Amino acid sequence: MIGQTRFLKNKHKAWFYLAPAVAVILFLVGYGMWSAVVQSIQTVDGNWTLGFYKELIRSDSFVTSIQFTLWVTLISTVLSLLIGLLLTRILYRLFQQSSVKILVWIPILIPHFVAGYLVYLFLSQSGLLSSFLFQAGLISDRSMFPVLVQDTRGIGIILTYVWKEVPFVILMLLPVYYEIDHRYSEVVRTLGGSKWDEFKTVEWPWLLPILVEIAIILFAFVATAFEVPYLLGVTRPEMLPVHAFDWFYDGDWSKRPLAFAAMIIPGIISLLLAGISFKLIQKHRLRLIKGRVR
Amino acid sequence: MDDLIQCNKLTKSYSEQPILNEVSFSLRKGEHLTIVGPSGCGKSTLLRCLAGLESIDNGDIKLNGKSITSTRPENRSIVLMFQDSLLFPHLSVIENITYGLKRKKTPRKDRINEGLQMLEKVKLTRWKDAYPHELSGGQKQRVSLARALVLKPDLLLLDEPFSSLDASLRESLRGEVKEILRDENITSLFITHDRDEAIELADRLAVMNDGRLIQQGTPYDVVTYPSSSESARIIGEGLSLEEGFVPLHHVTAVPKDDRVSNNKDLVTIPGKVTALTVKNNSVCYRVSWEDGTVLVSSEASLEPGQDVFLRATRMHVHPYGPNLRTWSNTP
Repeated sequence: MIGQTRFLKNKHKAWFYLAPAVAVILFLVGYGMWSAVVQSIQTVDGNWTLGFYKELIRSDSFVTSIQFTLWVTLISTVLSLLIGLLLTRILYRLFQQSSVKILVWIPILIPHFVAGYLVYLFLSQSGLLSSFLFQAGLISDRSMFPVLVQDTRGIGIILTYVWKEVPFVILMLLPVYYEIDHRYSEVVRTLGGSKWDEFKTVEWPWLLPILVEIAIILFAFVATAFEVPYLLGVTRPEMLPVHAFDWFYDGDWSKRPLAFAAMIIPGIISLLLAGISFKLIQKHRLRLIKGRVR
Repeated sequence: MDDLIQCNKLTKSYSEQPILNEVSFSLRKGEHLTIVGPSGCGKSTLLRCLAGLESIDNGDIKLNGKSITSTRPENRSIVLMFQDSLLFPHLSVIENITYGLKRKKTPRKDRINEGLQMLEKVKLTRWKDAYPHELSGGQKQRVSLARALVLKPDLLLLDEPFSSLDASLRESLRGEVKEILRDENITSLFITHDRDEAIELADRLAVMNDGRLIQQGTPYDVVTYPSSSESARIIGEGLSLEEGFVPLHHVTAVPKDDRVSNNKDLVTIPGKVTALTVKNNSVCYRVSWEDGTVLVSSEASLEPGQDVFLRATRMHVHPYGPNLRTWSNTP
């Protein structure tokens, strides 16, 4: 028992506990990622080169694709965060006692591909909503229904992601709201603060670190996920994962390194964002945790 | 008519359970009222109602002659200091202190100056850039007090602000707080269930039980001449008997064999010495009797475990009743 206690005090204990998970990730994911990185900087002859990255940056189709990807990713991330935050703030007290929250979790259970298909089924010009409006006499022709899926602005893709990710945002924010000591809100009020000050001073400092983390997770996911833009996107502009998929399965094997390079770029952006935000937020988070009254 | 705050028949219930029952009192500018009472008697609810954090069911609260019963908390010139310091953990000490001034849109330079002056008064100038987690419990409460006082509220409400501190720190801090409140001429309403704290901080002491204020007076009057057995049990310093109250300085412990039997001028109560202690350099004995315990002196030398009588002359038994002594506001 003494030996065990001494062992648990070892400064490396966290790494020891994490070792099985880290080993699996390194073996299954890490090897694949390493292989992709190597292939993006190696010619078919085995020579090292950054030529594929240079080629990508010069490629109009890549620039258009990454612009479109950033647009869809940023809009769907921001909307998911805003709607998720708003719903959590309104509903967290209700969710504490009610089983209604199960309704909110339903979209989490549905695969992204199915969610995309449902959006197509409801919102396409030949979909259920346009049929209903046509039957109700509100539109004289189904073509009058706005193009919401397979459109050049990515509205269908954004809607799918927002529908899928809002419950995820709520899931992540609910524990934060339950952890906040709401006596601080009363302090704000007696010191002359408004409702907005309550949010800004009491809730926002606790929400900020987790919102940044959620934003990075959503950014990394939306920017690199394939199935929704494949189902609901158009040929031009095309989201980066679809573009990479095309390059990868193209008959021309010489384009495979381009596919890898195209997917490594958003990966690096996500890693950089995660690293920078961790650095910036960790101090703030520690101050909150150490300074709170419990 | 020169009352700063007047509370008239405040009533509050939760789920039809009365918490405040027609509570009435008033406070003059610069006065320090302490309300003492057991846990759950409605003290904290009263403060929350005054701060505007809870609504009242009936009654009226007037501040400077104007009703503030339906005024929002942020618009009342009343600040509540909580049991815990509740400093904002992400803000530095000076940012915490100037928080209220910022809400009032005081220019930055002015609020920093005012904050630093207040910080000097609570003797924490060198901690101005520290964060709450770097402060001790006593320092946190000082910052919390400074944060409240810098706003110069008409009324400061203190909800057992020292209860989370250790005994010696609590004792030193309450002296400091009283001094600062006096210097700043701040009117305060302090609630506590600690007798010593209540007596020391009050210009006027009120006893609360079951949502009612059952007695008000100078600390000496309330402690020495409680108006009811309820009040005697909560704050009285002496023997609470059925027929009245004997102030402690008239009670002495005598060995059992010293009893003067059949002396109608004496009241004698059997008890047992449970502990021996020293108070103000004098030996005192904690004697337990059927209705509680009391700390008394004795001319005899007693031992723990010894059977004794608590003795007082009958003329010092003060019958309970509200009008036996004229209430005065000066100690």
